[in-house]
Amino acid sequence: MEKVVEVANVSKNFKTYERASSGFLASFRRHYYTKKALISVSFSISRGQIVALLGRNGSGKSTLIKILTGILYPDSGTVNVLGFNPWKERMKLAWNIGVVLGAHGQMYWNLPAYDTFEYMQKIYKVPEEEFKKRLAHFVDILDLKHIYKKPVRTMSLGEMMKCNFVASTLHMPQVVFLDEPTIGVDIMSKAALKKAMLEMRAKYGTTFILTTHIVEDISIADRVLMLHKGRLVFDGAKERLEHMFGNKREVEIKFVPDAKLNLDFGKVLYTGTGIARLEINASVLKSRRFISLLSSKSIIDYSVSAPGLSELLAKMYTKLEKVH
Amino acid sequence: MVEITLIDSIKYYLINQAYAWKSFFAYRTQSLLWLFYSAFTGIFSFITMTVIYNVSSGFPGWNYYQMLILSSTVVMVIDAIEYNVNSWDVIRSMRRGMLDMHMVRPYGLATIMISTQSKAKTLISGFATGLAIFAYAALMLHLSLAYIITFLGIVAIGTYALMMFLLMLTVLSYHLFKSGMFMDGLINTLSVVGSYPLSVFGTIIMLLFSILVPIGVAVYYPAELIFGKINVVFSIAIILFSLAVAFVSYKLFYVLMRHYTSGGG
Amino acid sequence: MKSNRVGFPNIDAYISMIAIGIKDQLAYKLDYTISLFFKFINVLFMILIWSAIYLGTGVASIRGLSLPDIYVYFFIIYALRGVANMQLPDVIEEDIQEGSIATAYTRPLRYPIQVYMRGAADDLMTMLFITVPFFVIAVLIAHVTLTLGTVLLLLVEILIGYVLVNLIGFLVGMTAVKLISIQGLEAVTWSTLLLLGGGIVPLNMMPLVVQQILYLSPFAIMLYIPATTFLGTVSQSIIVTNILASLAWIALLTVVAFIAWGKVRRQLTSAGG
Repeated sequence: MEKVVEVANVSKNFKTYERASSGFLASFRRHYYTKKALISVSFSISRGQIVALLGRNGSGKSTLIKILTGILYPDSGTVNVLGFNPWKERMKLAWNIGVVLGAHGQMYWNLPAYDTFEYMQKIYKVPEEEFKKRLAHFVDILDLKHIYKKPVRTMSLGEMMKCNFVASTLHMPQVVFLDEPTIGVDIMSKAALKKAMLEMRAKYGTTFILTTHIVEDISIADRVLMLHKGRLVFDGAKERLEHMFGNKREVEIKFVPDAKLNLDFGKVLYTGTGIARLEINASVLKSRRFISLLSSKSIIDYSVSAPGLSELLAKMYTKLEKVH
Repeated sequence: MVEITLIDSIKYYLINQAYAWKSFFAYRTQSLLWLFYSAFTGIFSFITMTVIYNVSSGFPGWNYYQMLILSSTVVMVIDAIEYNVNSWDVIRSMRRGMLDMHMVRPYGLATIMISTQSKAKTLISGFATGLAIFAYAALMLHLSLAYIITFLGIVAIGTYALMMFLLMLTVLSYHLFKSGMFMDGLINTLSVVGSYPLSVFGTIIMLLFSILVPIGVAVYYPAELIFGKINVVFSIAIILFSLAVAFVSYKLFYVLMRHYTSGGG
Repeated sequence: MKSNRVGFPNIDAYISMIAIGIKDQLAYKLDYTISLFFKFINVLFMILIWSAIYLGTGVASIRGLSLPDIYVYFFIIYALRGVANMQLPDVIEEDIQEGSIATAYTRPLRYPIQVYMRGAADDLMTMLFITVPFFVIAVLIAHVTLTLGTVLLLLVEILIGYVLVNLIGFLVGMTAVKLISIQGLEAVTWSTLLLLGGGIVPLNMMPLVVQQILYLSPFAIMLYIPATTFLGTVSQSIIVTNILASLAWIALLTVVAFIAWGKVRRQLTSAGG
């Protein structure tokens, strides 16, 4: 599959400072240090992939996006996006990428969103017929019919985000970068954005790279890249992420209050009157002893679920903090 | 993919102006009010010169109308520069990461920065007042159209050079300080110095504001040319120097932007 | 839990605002220092300009001011510009545009006083680094003897001027509720203050009719009257007239500020969102 993004050993440092000490005179003293925003990051992305770039705040996600789009220069390493060096050939690359930074970044605040769309049409030289067709399509798929003709300042965050997405993709870029596109966005708007991305990927082979620290956003992704303190610590399918802490399952059991049950199958997360929650290995589900428990007359109801991805990531971050 | 030409860059600038003005007029009453009171900024230098020449014979070798030409030109030059490169706005947008969104567009960085300034729209009315005072003084001096066009042409080149210089200085200030408090002071100083003949400040200051911070090439020397105080050869040298300043500033700007670190995460 | 009634002076809080405002100014020390440098050299440029005017005209004095008087005059003017700083429009405009006005409102402090305290931080810095040094230079180069009476009179004039500047600044700042962006209005107000206050040209060089009007305006006491009181070149009648007129202006502008503030108060929280 054609590679659209190739990153090899990219590093980036920033010089910053902190107050040397406390007290009023501390305003006059600074302790300078170098923050390593990215450390030897390498990966490649194929055409048509939707890649989620995960990581805590300050992990280097936005820095990486800015390097891939030519806004920043790395200190070392090579980057190739659609055959271009982003910082040396920024203008040539710009025709082929779309970038969504923040909810309303490029939207004209006092004007209807349509004016910004028109503006983007002009600067990207989109032919009139194409512009009308694409706009009609986006208005339909993102449910913007009653939104795009009202001033941006009167919109909700979700509406702004959808309009911002349209503005950044009207010129049909091959690669779209979205920096934390769903922060503060309502659930319906998130769903609409995801739908739009999937459709663009299916129809035009558009590649999407979205940074996020919201776990739910990776449901759409084929692949997850995770940064931690500037290092790439995970690169793979999201299912592999789920399996990283063993095949854990959570079982909630509701039973007759007076029943005495042996719950020694794994970790007991919670017990109350007539209810218990356990964390067990997936393999235990098939064990005779466990099946026997669930079949007993004392059991009123039970449910089995995989632990939330949030919890897995929280565990992963804790582990990473110890390692790095 | 399309190769960006100079015409494309000009079009990009004009498109941005069109939408910025459209956005400006979204508040109709306010915008007219903004334009109205901003027009008065151009009048203050007129009043100042009038008072000075009322109580004294003014500056040696410069009559009242010649001084009006000088002071009104500096109003136009400074307003034109600030309209396109308002240092505080540039630095604020870099600090907050607001410039990043524009930097991913397929146009030159200098073009993008100059085109996307949107806060200083009202300066256009100060510029208009300056132009009106200039026209009045030119009329009273019976300056021919050829002289006026020559003058404005050289002023335009000098203004462009000074604008590129200030853009480079703004980015340098951001790079060094992540701030640009002093730029306001510099603009005020240029406004003061440019309103008067550079010769009154002595040789060192004259050289400083001719070569290092070249307000002279945008105002003083073009005025000296049309009033016959310098010859054509010198004025050609001024034009070439302006172009050199613009070129060097442009190159330095791009070198500095390599080290750009945007704010806002 | 001890509660502090709103309006009951919370001195510590206000002092903290000034302290943090000063720290904020010093966050960019080199930048701030360079900006001070430009303020210093501008006074030198004014002196050179007026030297050229005097030398070009070939007279010893213009309207009662000799060239040495003019040097002192402009040092005093630039010292007083540090007092007539007018920071309030910037502070209020920023609150409106950034939407931080709602946060300011949730604090148990009066908003107008919060705004003043934040502006006062910049005022204090400017007075320390501009006003005091320029006054010292003026005293050193002037051939005047300052009596206690003159010093007291100067302090009264400067205080009146400071109150007027802040009242005008507050009223200009409040227009941000309607106008949102007031940078242009601020610039015009400041230019007006400078010109009509004698900051560019001494007021006694204006036509007589204009002078008489300006001595009744709120601007003269901000710059011209203290400068010429220092030099001893202004008559007592003009001083008295101007002080009385300025006190009347303070009364009038205070009433206007109260009325306007009452009306604007409700709009402020919605405009800043």
